[in-house]
Amino acid sequence: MNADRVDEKFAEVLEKAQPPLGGGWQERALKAMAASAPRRARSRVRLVAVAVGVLAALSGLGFVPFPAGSAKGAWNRALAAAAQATTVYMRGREWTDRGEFDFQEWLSEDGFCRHERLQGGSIKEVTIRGGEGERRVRYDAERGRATDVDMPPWRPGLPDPPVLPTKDLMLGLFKSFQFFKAEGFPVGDVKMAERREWTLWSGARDVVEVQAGDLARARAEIEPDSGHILSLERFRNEGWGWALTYRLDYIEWGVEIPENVKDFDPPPGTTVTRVRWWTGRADKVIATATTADWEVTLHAIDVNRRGDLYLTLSRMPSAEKRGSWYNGGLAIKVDAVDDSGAVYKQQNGYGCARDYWSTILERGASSNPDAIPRRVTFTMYPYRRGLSKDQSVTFRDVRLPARQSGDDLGREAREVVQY
Amino acid sequence: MSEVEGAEGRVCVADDDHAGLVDGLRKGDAAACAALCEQFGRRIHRLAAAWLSGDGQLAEDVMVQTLADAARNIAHFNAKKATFAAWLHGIARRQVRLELRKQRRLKAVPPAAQVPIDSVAGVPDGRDMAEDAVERMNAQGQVADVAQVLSQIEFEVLILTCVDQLSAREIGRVVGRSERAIHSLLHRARQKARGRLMSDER
Repeated sequence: MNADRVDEKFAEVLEKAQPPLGGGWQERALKAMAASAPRRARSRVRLVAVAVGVLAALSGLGFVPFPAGSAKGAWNRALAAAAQATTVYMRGREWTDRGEFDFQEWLSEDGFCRHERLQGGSIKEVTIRGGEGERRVRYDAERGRATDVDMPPWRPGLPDPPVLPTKDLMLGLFKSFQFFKAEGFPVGDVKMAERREWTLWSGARDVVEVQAGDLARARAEIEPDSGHILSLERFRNEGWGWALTYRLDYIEWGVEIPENVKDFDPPPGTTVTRVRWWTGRADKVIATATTADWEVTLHAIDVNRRGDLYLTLSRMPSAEKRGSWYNGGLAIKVDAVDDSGAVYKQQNGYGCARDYWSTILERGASSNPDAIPRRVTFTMYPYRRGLSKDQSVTFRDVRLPARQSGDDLGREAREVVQY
Repeated sequence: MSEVEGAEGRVCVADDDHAGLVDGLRKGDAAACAALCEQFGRRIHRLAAAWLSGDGQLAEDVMVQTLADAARNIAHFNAKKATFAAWLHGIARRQVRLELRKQRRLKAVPPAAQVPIDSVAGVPDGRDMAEDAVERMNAQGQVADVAQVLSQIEFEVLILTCVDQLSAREIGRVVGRSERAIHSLLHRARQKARGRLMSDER
């Protein structure tokens, strides 16, 4: 079934699925439209008079900020303050594809982060990362499921460093814009404005506004003396206008992280899947090689009962490329052939964390099916896009370990616990 | 609809098809309101019904509210930024999301969408209404099946392509993504939907 046929078929199904319109819907719609006539411009004099009156009243009450000059460098001061902070607690609201949530978050300089999404005061989702024996826990109350995955170690140059992620409060916005630009999306120019405002209630505060083309924008308020971010809002262009997607409205710096938030205690009925793949694999090195732009490391090889290979790899930008932007979701392509002549086929399923990858190579037919392969030659393409498209590394005659008894080694690294 | 190079080198979209309709709506013309109903009422209803898991009554409410919102806010429509259809679909999408947030509906056929066959008594045009209802329920089940394997954004993009044949650029405007991202979402959505639709095809 080609793309056109899928569209055609789905359009047919949608047409069949369309419920009948109630009689008189047109009258109803026309009545609603008549009741909401187009907004017309009112008398300008009256409008100006009302606006001046309201502005004066609000200014008097301290709600309307007065411009108080430039705040050049406010953004850099905020980044520096975030880098120096040890812990932070934040509260706000998020509007996501899965619904609207209140959130609260604890972050600390050792890389610990707990993010909770709540509805009606109940926890719906929890994500924990970092902390002791770094791992990520995600809990989804709707599905009654949680995953608990160990994390591979961080090395300089890899994304997602275990440092205070408060830097990401706004930096994340820049990152995503740069990413889109690098991928060739028409995001337009990223513009930033910094200014100081003053109100009767809150005194002086610096305001930083960032906008990328007409796709997304953000606004942060920063305390001028300390450089601490006080609030943050992010908006996305939804076609009809700017939609608020994230609002951080309470932030407290230097808090003590409560012990009970450092781990996740699943409620009864939750199915927890524990994945322990990286531990014992990602910290070893079998071979490493570099291309012009990348360093590729083969950390571990596991061989299943049938002779399929489970590779643990990592990819890191070269020293010159560090700090530049790339698509961390683009998989590493691997070609392999063993000493019995069998060619391996890379499977679609793979896992990745922090640019460490686990990928499966299925062993193809060999001219001598009874031969037990001892060595394999791998050719790896770390990043098949842009200027790095044709860059590759070759690891020749890598010795294979003994076969393990299981078929699906990935599944064996998983443990499912019912609470 | 045609693309023209704007004064500052930006590509603008001239929405010639609906210029008259937009003008009429701006003047509050009753004939333009009727034309809006005629041209877009059923399309918005179909779109909303698909997004709302086949809930016809709610889809009708969304459609009426979308048309009313469009008529009220027509002054904010800017033909340089989006086509009229994309702008209208953006409003519909927002209405649907408001409803979904309110009701937290699941991607499955809700009881409201299931046609009570015993209540279908009259057969005005001689067709078998019960058969119609069963066919509709089956189709709604198929839509729910497809929805289950797609992410929300993939489902939205596929519907906008199939129901209204909006271009990738227009869909990008509706859902706030780049044209390239839409191509990629659409490719994934078709791949995932293919399996579900194929089983019916065999």
